[in-house]
Amino acid sequence: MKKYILSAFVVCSATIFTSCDDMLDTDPRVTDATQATFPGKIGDVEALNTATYSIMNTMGGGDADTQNPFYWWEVMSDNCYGSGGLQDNKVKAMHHLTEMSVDQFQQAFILLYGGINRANNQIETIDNVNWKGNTTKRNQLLGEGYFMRGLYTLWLTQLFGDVPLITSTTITEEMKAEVDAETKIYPQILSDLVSAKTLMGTEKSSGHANKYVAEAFIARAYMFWAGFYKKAGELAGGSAPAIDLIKQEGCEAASLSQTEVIAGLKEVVASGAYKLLEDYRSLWQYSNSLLWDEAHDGDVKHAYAFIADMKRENCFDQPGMGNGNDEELFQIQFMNASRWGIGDWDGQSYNGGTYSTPRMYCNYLSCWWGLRVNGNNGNRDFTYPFMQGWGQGTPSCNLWDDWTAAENKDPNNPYSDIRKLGSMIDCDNEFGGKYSYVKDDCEESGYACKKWCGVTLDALEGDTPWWHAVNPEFKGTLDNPMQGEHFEDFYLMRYADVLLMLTELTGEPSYMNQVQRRAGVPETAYSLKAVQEERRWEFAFEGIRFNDMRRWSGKEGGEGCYAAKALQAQAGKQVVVKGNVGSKVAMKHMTCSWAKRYADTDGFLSKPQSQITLMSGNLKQNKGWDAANPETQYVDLYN
Amino acid sequence: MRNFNFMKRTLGMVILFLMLSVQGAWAQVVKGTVNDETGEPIIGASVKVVGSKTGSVTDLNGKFTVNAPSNGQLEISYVGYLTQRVQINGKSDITVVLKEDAQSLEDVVVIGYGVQKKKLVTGATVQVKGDEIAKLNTTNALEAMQSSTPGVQITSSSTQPGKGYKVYIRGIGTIGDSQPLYVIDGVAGGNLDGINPNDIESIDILKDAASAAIYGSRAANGVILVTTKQGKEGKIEITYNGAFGWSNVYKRPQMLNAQEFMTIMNEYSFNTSGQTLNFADYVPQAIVDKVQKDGWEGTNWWREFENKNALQQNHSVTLTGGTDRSKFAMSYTYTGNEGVMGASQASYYKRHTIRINSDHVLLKAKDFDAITIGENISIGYSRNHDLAEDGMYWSYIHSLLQTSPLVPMYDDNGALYTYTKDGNKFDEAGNPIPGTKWNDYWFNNPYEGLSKGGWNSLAESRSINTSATAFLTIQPIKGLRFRSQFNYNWNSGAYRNFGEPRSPSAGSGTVSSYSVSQSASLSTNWSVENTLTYDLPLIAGHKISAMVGQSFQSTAWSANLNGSNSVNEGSQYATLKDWNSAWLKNFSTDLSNATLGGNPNDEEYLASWFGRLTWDWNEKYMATVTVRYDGSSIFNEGKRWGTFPSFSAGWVISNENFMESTKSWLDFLKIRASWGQNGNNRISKYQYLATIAQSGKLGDSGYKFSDSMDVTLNGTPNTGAYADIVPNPDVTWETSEQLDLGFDARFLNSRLGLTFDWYKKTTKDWLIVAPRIAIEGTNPAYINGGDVENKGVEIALTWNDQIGKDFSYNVGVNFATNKNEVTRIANENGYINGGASVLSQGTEYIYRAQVGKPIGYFYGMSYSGIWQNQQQIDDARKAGQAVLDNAQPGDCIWDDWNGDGVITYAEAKDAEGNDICDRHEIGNPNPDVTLGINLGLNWKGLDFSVNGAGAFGMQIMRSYRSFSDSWWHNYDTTILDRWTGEGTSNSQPRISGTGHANTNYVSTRYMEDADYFKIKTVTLGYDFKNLWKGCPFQQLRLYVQAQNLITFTGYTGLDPEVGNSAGGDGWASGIDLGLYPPSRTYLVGASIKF
Repeated sequence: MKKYILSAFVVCSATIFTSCDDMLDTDPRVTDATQATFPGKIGDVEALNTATYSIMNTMGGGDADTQNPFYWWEVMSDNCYGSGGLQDNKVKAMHHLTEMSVDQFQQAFILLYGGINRANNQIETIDNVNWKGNTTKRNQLLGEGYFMRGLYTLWLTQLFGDVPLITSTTITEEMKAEVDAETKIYPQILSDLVSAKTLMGTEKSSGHANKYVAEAFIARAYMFWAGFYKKAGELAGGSAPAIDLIKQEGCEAASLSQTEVIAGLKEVVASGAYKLLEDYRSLWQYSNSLLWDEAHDGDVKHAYAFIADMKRENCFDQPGMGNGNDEELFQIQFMNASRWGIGDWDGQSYNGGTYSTPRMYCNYLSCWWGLRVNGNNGNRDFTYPFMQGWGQGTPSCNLWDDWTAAENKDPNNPYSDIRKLGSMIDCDNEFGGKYSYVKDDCEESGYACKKWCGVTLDALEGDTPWWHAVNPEFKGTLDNPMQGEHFEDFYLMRYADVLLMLTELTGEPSYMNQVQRRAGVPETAYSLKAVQEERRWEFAFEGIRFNDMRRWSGKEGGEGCYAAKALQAQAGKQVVVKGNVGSKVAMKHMTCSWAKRYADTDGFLSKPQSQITLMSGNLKQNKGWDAANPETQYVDLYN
Repeated sequence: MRNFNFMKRTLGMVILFLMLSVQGAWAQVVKGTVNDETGEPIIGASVKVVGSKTGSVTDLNGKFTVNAPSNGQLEISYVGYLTQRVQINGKSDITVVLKEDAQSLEDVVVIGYGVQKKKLVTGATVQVKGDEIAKLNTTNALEAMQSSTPGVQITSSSTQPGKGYKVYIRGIGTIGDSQPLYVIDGVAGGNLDGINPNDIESIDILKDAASAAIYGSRAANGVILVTTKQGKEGKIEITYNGAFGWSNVYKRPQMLNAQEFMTIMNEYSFNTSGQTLNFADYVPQAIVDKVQKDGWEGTNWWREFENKNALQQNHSVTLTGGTDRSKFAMSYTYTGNEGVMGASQASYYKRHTIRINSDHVLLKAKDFDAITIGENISIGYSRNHDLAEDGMYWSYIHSLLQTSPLVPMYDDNGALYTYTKDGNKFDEAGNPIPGTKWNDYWFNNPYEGLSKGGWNSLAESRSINTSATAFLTIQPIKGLRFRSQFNYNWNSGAYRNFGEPRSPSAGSGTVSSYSVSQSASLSTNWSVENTLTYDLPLIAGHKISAMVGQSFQSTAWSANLNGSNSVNEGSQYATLKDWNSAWLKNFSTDLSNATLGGNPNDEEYLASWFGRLTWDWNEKYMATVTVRYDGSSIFNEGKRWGTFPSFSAGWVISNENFMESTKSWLDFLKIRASWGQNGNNRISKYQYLATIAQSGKLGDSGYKFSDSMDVTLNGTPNTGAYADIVPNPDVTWETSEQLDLGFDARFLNSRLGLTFDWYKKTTKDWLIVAPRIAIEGTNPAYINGGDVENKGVEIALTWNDQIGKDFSYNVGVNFATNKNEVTRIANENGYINGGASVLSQGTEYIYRAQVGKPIGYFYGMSYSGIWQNQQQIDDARKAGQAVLDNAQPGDCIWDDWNGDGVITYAEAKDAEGNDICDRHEIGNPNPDVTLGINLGLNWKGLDFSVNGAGAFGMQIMRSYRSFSDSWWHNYDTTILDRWTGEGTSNSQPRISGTGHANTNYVSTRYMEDADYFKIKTVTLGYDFKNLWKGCPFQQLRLYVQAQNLITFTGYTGLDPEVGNSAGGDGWASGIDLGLYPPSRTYLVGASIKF
């Protein structure tokens, strides 16, 4: 025994005394892959591609006031107020084109560069995989990489203007410095979209971009560049300049002209791949068949009249409608996987991966834009079928008033635009007088966002969205269905946009007329004003309006430009503050005027101060955002 | 038993014989007896004739005989006792009583890979004896050390049963992991949580770098060496220590009752909207009536959540014994602690441990042991249940503090009051009757969540931790020892958690399903260590000892498995009834909501070489040099290896001849100095690699490429992958460098002891996660990005004395200062901000790390009083004072800290880059001074002791309600001092809106001084052996003890000792969102020795 123990020690010691550096070599097990070996197969590239898209999920699935630029762009436009509760200061700051903290907009800045980094990784490493016999697949995946890089960069520069242009995962010193958007960033965006168009196929595959999607976004990016930077004015004249392109795979041409942009859109139309849904309401979850059935079951207590006249086959959840419908070109797709603790199985931790956010796989706008009802008026019977949410960013009186004015422009021939009530809830009238205003809400217009507001059913208990009943097997993944069970797509490009862009670019009214016809609006001849109005009605609350206003204004448009005037029209509108319906308050700007703030900033946001500090001179604050100027800083108007 | 007595006798004879052989011849024969204080003879005490080379040792009966001059002096000494000199004065029979020396200089202290005589130590170490720790009856040994370790700040990370402690040795050195390294019986890397204090022989804390440097790359935050009880030669000794006790909450938060609550809510409403509140909008009318008409004061949630007389018990049985060849120590201990909060689901901790330590001499040379083998084995089994108390959203404490007193806990029939019970009532036409419904926000019955599994209230963890160490010592020639040690740890754990359907309660919403989750884990690690030590023979007074060694440590294998399922109410198996039947198997065949996971932990290795050289000359001059060379798998090739040297030296001035004149009052004086470097490698692994993260079911990189409405994240192409880090191939050790100057002195016949240390500790290349540079597009890596400095002084004073024959007493006072300062942060702005929304949802961050400031200092606004009337505001504006535009009487008079004439809350800079923000350093959670006091009295077998600890100079940020978004949360009664009109208050502003500056600005309004001193334990015991001499026990001590008797503090919150970071960063501290309260415990116990 003694001998045995002794020799064991000797062997052990001898082994250990020879230990050297090799014994310290380890490989990661939990993460099990490094960039040295990944991607190694086609599935790996698909996974990289998935992660690139996933950033959109985080943008739309988290707190809308901190990370959803599409929501910001509605709140900053004349479509919405800040509203919300007394403490909801971020949204109110945004609505007044001010900030409540110097890092208020940082999250989107981080997320978009995250998307760019993932796309770059996908583009750079694609040929680490053997694509023999699979070049079509390679080109599609590479094209999607370019497409997403172009798209993220477009959103980034629309938000922040001149920023560092990152086209590689290896960031050189040179790349760190911000560059001119007009001459450096937009050519890269258009080149990426052109590469995407060339490389991708025409197949429609749920959620993926394809050639037509790229063509539509080429138009959107080009039109913003031409309108905002080149101040091309009315594009229908065909006077917009061509934009220079940068040579890269799939993008050989030296420049891209308006004619080519138009040709791309016409190709989308000619393909017949997309069409307008027959009924505008089919696009929105409030037209789901479960609600429709309740409207037809004879029980008048819960009959939602607004959709009662729809054809049942046009209901949101019927094949070809709603998610995955024929009108969608590109959208953020949400899924039944929202959670408080993304990335952590027991739901205790909020820290998953890089950008994980509680609830990220749900469309959190449904909660954000939900009705701000609580207390006694929170009785859902009063607001059926619409659900409670945070009630922030409620629709403005301007949108309702302007729309109503348009409907009654010709007093002899007034019409009713289905999209108006299809987009907004007229709380006072639609809830049978039972809607009461909330004590802590500050800027209630009396309207709510019908397009995104959560929808419940009488058959469900409590604050539970209709999604809960879609499938008997369906179970929420969040303890809190009201916040977490919203899975409708967020549209980023609808076919209606392709049509309206075509009219705007060519002056041919026929495309626009299709959109008008569906809405029950008299068809009109082309005029820029007609296009402008049509776009505002068609895309209300879809994140389109603000950048449309900006491109029709042009850079340095001053206080007299289209956007400045439209925004300033909000001043003086009567809103309900803190539940005092009897004595409405006139809307006023918190520091100066909307026109001045717009003219000072051109609609760009402040770059996050901590990033400016960290990047030692490479990043400069945008015009109009000197934090020392009190006009830029949030002021509490209602406390 | 007889056998061992024989052994003892024989051993004594051998020693006696050896000593007698050196005896010389003298004229007068002096006989005597040496006893200890209990009257037991001391065998083998040395008796020296002062001024000669003659002496003797005592025999088995404590008797001695020497030849000495009749006017001479005898010096009697024995290890562990105070040395005594007696005048012979012509007597021929002398009885000497030696007093036990609690802190004898002859003591050895543990120094890492060896022991050293305390008087030769050249570094700054502190030793606490196991007996001292065990006496205080704590579950965790660290708690017992709070009053006796200057420079070591020990705070509970939670006062729930069985929770660990945050230990900062000489201040926080990093914002990464700042906890010390634990070395238990020579094995590095454990923790003290699973060790019963009764098993501990001693704990040695290595505070300065020179002492800790032998542990190199893991020693930057100091080292705590734990030695468990080893076998003792002699008869088998059986010891029983046990105590029973009862704990209760002793300080309750004073929350508003129903009437006060309604007053404040009304005032809120009036101040923000000009109207009083219609309570029926929020609360059923019946409740409003009950309060307003019947005088119901509402629910006192705190009282309802208490667990009164929570049982505490602790039992340990220890066996020690052995021969000169073979020695052993065995123990079994049981600890059972119940928590004072959580009512029926009160937290608990139950622990069984078994420890077997033994060593055996295989081969004995003439006068030394040539080959020895031995082992230390410990097995711990524990069960625990915790009450959720993390931050704002995972805490019953926070929840019950904020819950309205208007909510009843039970309905009139005694059933749990749930949301649906008072939901809308409808009239016959189907219209809801106003005033019958609870507002969603106002309704919260935390007790419902508690009893039905909310926040894991129905959950239990179990773990088994086994550690086995085998060692071998070979001593081929005397003084040359080779020691080899192999350790293997095997840890396993299981967890289960059950939830039942419940109505909405704050934070969790309606739950309509049953849920269960189970997990199990196994992990192992091993280490091997070899050392070679040579104690050179004494050459001309020079004593040299050298040690070289090598070690390898591996955290190699582990596996975790977890699964969960949930099923809608009504669809569960009939077998699922309650907690006892809540297993995955009993749930449902429906797996559509089930999760399953399994993963290993990442491996980690540490390879090391080290050496130490110690020298002394006649115990007068001494020095130690150590060096350690560590390689860690955490870093990239080329960055793995680090060298950590140290030097220290000491000079025992009192041994110099020129100090003879002070001998009468100065027994001992040593000055010492040390310098050294240590490292810290505790960061996430693979920071040097560009790793790819692949999302599983719920990662953050999936995407739904499908039109189906019911798609989850399983499978391609929905699963995503992305590079999740910007790799930093250069990341390497954090280095802590420390200079220590100190002295140890004993005065007045060693009755007074004084230890003094001054130190300066600098952490260089501090490992921090770099702030995210957005354009890099993914997670930032750790960088070596900063420096921190800690400076301070530590003083420990002890006084031991005996008055008369029967009365002895001791007093220990120690205090320490520390000044923490960040000296470099390698980013552009020179600071790192903490997380936002810590104090309340929607508030700015409140703590920071910044160059020139202490780590985690509080950052916010300050104000000087309250505007009393409009005139005052107008005058101030006229005088050019900065005033907020919307200021009105009752608002805070904010300080324009930067004097730019504008009150700016936003953290902003102007065009020139000047800071325009008026937030500034308002407080510091780190104490300036810590104090410990120990007092002990002994009189004829009666013992009495008091231990106290305190900290001074720090602040706490406190909020028991989410003030910036939830106006309906309950308040504590301090709100009753608010401003309600001119002259009513100059410190608390009027009640204002949740977004108003008064409320929403992070400011001194939420901060308080947290100085405190606590009487931690008071013990009174009596050894009945003194009454009943003939009893079969060596000791029969019974005692009573009070723990946490008194806290002296001005802090208005629950407990000023806040070790929690409230769910914020690990380097934050001093944030009180309502923590599990400390308890007062009364114990009755016994210590019996057979």
